[in-house]
Amino acid sequence: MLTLTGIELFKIFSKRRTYIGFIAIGILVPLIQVALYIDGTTYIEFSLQNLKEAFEFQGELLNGYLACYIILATLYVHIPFLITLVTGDSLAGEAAAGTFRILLTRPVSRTKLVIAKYFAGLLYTSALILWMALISLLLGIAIMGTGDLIVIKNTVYIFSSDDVLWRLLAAFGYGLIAMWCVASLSFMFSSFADNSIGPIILTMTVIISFIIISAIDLSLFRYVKPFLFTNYLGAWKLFFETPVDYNKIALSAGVLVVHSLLFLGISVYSMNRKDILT
Amino acid sequence: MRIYFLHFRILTLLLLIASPVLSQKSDPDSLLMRVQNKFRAVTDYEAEVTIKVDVDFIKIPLKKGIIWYLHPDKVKVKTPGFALLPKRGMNFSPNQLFTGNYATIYAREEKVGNIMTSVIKVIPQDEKDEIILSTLWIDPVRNVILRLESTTKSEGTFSMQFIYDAVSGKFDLPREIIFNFDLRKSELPIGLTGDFENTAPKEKGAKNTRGTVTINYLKYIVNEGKGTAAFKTSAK
Amino acid sequence: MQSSEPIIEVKGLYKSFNGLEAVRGIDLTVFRGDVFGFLGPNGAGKSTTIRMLLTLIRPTSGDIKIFGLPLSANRETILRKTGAIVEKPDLYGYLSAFDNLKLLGKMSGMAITSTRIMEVLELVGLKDRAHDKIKTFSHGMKQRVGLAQALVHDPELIILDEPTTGLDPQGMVEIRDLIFKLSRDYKKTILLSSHILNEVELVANRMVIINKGKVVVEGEVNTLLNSGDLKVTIETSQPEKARQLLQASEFNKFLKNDSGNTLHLQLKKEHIAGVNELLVRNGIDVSSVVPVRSLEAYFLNLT
Repeated sequence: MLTLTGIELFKIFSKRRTYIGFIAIGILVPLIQVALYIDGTTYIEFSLQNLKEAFEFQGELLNGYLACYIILATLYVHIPFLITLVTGDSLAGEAAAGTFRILLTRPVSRTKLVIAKYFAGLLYTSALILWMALISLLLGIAIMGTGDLIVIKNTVYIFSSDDVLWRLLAAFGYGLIAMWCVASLSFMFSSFADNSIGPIILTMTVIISFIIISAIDLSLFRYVKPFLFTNYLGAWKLFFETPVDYNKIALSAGVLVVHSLLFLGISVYSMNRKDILT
Repeated sequence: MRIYFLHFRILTLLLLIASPVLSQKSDPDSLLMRVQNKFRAVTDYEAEVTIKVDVDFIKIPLKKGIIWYLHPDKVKVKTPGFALLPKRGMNFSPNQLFTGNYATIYAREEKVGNIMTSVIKVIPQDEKDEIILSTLWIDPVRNVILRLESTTKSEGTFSMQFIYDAVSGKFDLPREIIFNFDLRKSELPIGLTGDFENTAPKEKGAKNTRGTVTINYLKYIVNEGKGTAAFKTSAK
Repeated sequence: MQSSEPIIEVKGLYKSFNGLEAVRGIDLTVFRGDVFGFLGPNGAGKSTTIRMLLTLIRPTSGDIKIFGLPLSANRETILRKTGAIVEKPDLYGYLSAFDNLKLLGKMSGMAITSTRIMEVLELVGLKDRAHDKIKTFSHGMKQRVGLAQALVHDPELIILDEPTTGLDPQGMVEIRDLIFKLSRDYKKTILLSSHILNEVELVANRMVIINKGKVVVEGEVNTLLNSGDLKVTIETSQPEKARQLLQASEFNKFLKNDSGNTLHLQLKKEHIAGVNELLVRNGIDVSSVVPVRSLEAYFLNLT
């Protein structure tokens, strides 16, 4: 299994499309950081103008931590696309290229192969998130330093600078689980398809439409919302509350893990049933 | 960022203007004067402060910092990181209150805690003044203000409560000041991040709420030029 | 070189795709040492059958035994000893020939050394291009890498599905030579599918012809090709005279009852010379005598 996963990773990292995600993050994140560095104070002032009626502010709010939080929150919808580029291609790409014919005639069970590919996909996802965490945090801190973090939800939270790093790391950790789930979804679609465009588009369609349904506050949608796994993708934000609702986070993570395993299970089943005709 | 701590202006001006001539309990002007004279002995100070904000929609940890005061009305606070300081009082326009364009009335005696205070009402005479009425609770023995309450035209009421050590020190500076003010729920800031999912639905027709900021003072260093130095090094 | 040990045994193999019957009850046996020709026109079900032999497609019904073991229950054991190219030689274009062989070899459960990979690449004549990416290769070169991946783990059974498709004549000869070499020098059992009789005829010792998902004929190539009569067409400028001449001769019984400018006869190979001589001796100009073997005729009929 280790060998198989290694082979799949080797294949993933030999492909050019794999680096699109790394390059995109490598450009986008510093761009956001520089923009925030230049214009962030105005942005924050604008956002906090209501609060300024009652309070005098003392100290800087613009710092690497805030930039990191903003990057996390804004890129949340875009990262799945970068992940799907690779994980959605995992099985469908082989079908499209015709390489299933040489791959699936090896003395390796399809179940093992699918699981190895799945793990390789998760590892790629992890590498991408790690890369994002690294430049979001390190570069952000290098440019803007550390400081207290302000998070505005229904409540305004301000966290002391020594109370922020673990929250950001935990958020990236949760983000990893969430993105694994996205990867699993696209992997499942990949197992049905014979070209990689389908799974990529389908995954993004599912995620975006689920997010829209979650965001529109209509009674029908409100009823459906708990059943949409996308509703649990954003639970990393729960780390930015006091006290942290660990039960809710664990539950959300649990929902995502169960979904991921379900998606994997369906992929394995589907691949075992699949006639290779390409 | 340098913040002039304007609440202290209120206090300072109260002290400056209060007349010390008459010692009659029922003479509000003389009472104010005595309070002012007492405070005038302080030309500058430095103190360690802790700032605690109690607002139901704001969660900020207790902040520690340093406060500097320089006679007559300069105040500066510095904390590591970010701190929220009360702002109501800026609109309160204390200058008008005590620049002669006001009337003082002795109201009554009232106990604040265990201390019997003289309650004085201050009414600005200018119709345009934002403040409608201010009430002061003054300890006539120790000559310090224990409480201040102002009613404004458009921003509700705000109050300041001054707590002193039981034993009177040389300068009798407060150990704690509690600011209490009206907050409109609509003052909740707009999101920074364009979030898609907000966990709880926003309360419809949010009611006004009150905010409290408690500032504790520790380790006063009075009249040793600390305040002067602080304003010299970082003069705006 | 051929033994009686069956390597592939297929019985009643059947596959339908959503009601569309691609393979309708195929039986065939490949013995150890065979170069087995698997013939049929395009769409006859060759590729579907081969994909079922390689577990790429699940049969709807029927039994497949390879190396004496039921395929579905012994998939990995069987595939370890099997190498294959199925249709086009699609490989990982973004990897070099060497890397393709390395990872496919690894997946075959064998410790594939670099020496072994280079050895196989040399066998297919691509040693010099070992580290070039596949996507820079011509079709013929890809086909040879395809062969190399089928050989890299030194399998006992090699299944080649239309290995010469798209190759130039030179490439076809090279593949044919390689098949000879594998059979003769390396004692491999080879199943070779094709839609060209000639290609199979040149290398195979046994064969099967299938059409519309069913076996039409199975047997020794030599026997099948030599059995029965040849169909001969004779072209001449005096067809009527020739026809009368033949009707009056001993060859009367071979003559087909037809008219026109060409004469059709069905006869044994050894009679052709006699017929030709008779006509020429009687002053009839014979512009061509074309023999068509019955099997080929039959096969051409299919295709």
